[in-house]
Amino acid sequence: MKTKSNLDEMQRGKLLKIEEIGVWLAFWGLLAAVIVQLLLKADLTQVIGEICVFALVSVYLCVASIKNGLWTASIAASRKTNALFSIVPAAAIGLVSAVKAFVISGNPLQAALFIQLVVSMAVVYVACFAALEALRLCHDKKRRELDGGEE
Amino acid sequence: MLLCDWEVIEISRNLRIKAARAALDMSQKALAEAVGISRQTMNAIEQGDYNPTIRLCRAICRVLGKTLDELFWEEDEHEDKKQSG
Repeated sequence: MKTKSNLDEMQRGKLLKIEEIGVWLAFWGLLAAVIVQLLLKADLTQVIGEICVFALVSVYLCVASIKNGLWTASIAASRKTNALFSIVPAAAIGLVSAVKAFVISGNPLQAALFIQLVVSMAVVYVACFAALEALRLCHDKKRRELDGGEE
Repeated sequence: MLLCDWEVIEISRNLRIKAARAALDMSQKALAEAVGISRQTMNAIEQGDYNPTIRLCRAICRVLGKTLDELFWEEDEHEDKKQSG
């Protein structure tokens, strides 16, 4: 049964905008909460709930966008931009790991630890780039499908 | 330029709805109720702060007994001014 809306089209638009901002606040807030907890030496099992919710929201946003042939509003889907933006999570992981290892845990600067850090950053970079490229290929395919329909 | 900006603001306001409404001696609230929207939305349309969908435009036209052209069509000259402004 379809329920009658109390809102008109402009009010619905405004509500959607409010909800959109709320979702992004929750999304980045959740990520920040996970990072802070990990920095405060929380065990991974203590933040597993937050990580699951974060992963679920991320997967939903990706799948829903790709299914509708949407990428971002301001950044074009290309290999170059994917290569560039994969640096962000790699750098973030590097920074968080470095702060945790050297500042919070107080480990001395060692070559082995440094190499481990660089390797983890490289792994994150490659994983992000591969995931973004896979999404871009799905997006391009869907875009062709949506734009190629009969008139 | 100030004068140019003022002109653009005046053009973006939909004074034609207001005039058609006044001709029928209809308040903003009455028109909003007749088309099934809030007065806030009706006011935003008249002020040029909100672009209604074609469905809502048609509903407004039906209530006011006007055509889409009469209430919502903007001359090319105005469009050009808006784009350059």
